[in-house]
Amino acid sequence: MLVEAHLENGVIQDALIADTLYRGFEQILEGRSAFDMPYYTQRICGICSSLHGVASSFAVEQALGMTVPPNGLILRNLIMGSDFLQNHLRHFYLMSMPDYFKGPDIPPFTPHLEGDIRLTPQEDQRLTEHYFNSIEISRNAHAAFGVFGGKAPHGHGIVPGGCTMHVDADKINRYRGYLITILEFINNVMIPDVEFLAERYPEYVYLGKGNGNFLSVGGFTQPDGSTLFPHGIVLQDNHHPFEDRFITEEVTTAWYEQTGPIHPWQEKTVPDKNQPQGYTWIKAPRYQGHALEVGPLARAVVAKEKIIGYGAIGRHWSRVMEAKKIAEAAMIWLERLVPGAETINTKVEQESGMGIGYVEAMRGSLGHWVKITKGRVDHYQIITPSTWNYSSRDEKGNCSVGEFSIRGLKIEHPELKEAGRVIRSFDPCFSCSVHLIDGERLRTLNVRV
Amino acid sequence: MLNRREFLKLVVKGAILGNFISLITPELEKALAQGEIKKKLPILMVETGTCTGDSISLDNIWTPTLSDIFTNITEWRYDWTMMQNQGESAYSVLLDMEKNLAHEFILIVQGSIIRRDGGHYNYAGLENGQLVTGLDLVRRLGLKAKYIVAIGNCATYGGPASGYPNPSDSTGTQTILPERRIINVSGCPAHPDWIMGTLLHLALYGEPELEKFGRPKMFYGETIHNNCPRRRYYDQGIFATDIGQKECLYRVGCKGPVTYADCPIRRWNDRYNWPIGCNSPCIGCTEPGFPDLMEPFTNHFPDIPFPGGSRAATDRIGRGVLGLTTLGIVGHFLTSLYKGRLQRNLIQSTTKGKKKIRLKKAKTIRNYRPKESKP
Repeated sequence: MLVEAHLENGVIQDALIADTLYRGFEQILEGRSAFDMPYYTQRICGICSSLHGVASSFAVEQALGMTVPPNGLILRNLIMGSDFLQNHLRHFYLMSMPDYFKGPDIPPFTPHLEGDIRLTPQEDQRLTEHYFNSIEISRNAHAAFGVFGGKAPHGHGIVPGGCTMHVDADKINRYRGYLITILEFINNVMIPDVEFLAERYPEYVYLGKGNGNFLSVGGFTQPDGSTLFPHGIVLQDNHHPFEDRFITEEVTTAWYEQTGPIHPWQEKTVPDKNQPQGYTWIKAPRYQGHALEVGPLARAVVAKEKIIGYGAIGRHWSRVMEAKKIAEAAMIWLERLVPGAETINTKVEQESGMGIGYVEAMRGSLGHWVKITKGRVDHYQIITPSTWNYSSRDEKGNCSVGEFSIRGLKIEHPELKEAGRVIRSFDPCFSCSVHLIDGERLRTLNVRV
Repeated sequence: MLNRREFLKLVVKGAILGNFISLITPELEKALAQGEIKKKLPILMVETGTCTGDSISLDNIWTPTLSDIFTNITEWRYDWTMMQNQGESAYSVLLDMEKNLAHEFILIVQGSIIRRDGGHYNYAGLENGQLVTGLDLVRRLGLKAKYIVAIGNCATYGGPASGYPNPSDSTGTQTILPERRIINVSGCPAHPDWIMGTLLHLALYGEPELEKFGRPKMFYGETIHNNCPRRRYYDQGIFATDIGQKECLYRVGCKGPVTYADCPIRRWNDRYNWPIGCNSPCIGCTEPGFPDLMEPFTNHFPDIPFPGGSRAATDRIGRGVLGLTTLGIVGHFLTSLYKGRLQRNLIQSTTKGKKKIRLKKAKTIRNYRPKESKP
């Protein structure tokens, strides 16, 4: 990821956030067998692999008229849940925490990013221990993924029609064992840690606010049709139901062939590095013209749950609370599994069709749009969470939530540390749309657009 | 008595493996001061066209733990996902290693090498205000590294990013560094044991023995099929008719017979499960040519043409022929795999139904044969 910040008297006036990697998955997927999609789309991202798998399965199932047995749905939730826990643990400790504590004097902590560390050496020592503990706990989450998903990341268990793994008490027992360790860690270590950070860095609970628009497309569909995360849009405190037809994507300032704002069904992905206004590979998804924030905070706002602030640590707090919520829900899902009952149904009603797969991934809303003709993919479009959070400017010059959030930030420390804290609080995805360039590179520059 | 040289060798091993240093401090300090040994393995990781799945996979390592790797085994100096620092001061670590640790550090490449538009579809750094492409950075550091380890199928053979029509013109590391010998730890993602085992081998004993596509033989010596716990179903001709069943998955697309890896015995995460263990076929993610030559993942291979012209369908082999003969045929089939016969057949029945595309892809495979490093 590349951040260009325009500073005046130490205050960020404007910023451009750019992604510097193009792989072209949407182009690659065309022409392949529809049943390969969950395997292939997982390769888009190594951190939220299962979510891409589930989104593409949903899309293919809708297109081909397949029905998933209840056990299959619960298994998917368990796989996604463990992947969520893995991400939330790793993001909080391995990616965010180093912004707030000094850590040991060994690489990869050295050279330290100096300045504004408000902890005593003892507290620093304690957080360092938690950092290393979290590594051991988070791999438990992926081990739980592996119980039903085969391996993690890039599991094999999720396919159109359900999950390939059968259910028995041994597997439930094993998954539960991993889950309990994680739940204990969340309750005893992670929640106190995030509250401790909020206490020591109180202004960051509010610093780095988004633009007040939030989206959640709903996630963790349960057999009775309900979802753990409700879907909805919040535009400046007004709640609205979410509708697919209001989504448009445009590429005015991204390195693609120009199309104007269009729905993913009409969209084509044609890269064009010579685009004069281009500065990034991220497209610009908009909902009725609004840039939206997605992620744990957005889900909490849409679900009208408790939040402590809309800023950087406010986002971390929501993320940690969400981890607890998911771990507890997973306990209930485990009880609802029926050992021996079918988990997959590969019966297909038609050979061609169109389907949409929406899931809430760790970082926010993920959508897959697929058109299938005679079992092969004709058209594939994906909007990932980081595409929402770090979108390019649209034709009206509206910026993304990510770019908006660091405007007005007062910079007092080297390498624009403050902006790094805010940007990382969104949990930028490393690969699906955003790729960090050497942590975050921030420089002063005049900004176009 | 050990002579000084042997002693130092031992010290290096001790320093890498544990706390040997404290036992023999004076001698070690002298050696350190004279610059004869390095304490830990300096690592520089460059991420190019990647999904970061291999980093995440490495985080999942069960023994040793990642904490142990960071504190005792390696000096994990440059890795933009794990570093605390950011911006110029982080990048200066890389520049410093390039300058002061030339021919001492291990370069890990993660992600395909993107060549489109001269590499400008992927930037991996910012130097003096100029964006540095992943292609240039890997080439530059590759010439300075002691060993180069490519992890994941993308970095080794191009991987999913190089799938037809290969919009980013992705390729494996060996293609762009023909003058260096690349150690390929393939897989999508690579198993953490494969990564760490290779790194440790490099630290203690130098380069491991490599097979014909540059992968360490200790991990990629045999096919999945040879060690598969469902092999008995195959031998008896009992095949699953759909994914999600407990029999041999050969007829629903398992690529175990052409995939070299030790997944069946090693297994994944907490060693509990692995892809075939969850009733889903192996998709051949450790092989060059993945994914195009392995697709469709859930459709089975063409019937195998056997030497002598007889065309035996796989289920008949199992049912009709005695176990011993079957083994003989399968053995032959395996050894002749990369000699082209099966490759050509695979090519006819996998991705997209366009023969030429797959033939073209298969031809690129020979680029990945390991080269000798030139000084």
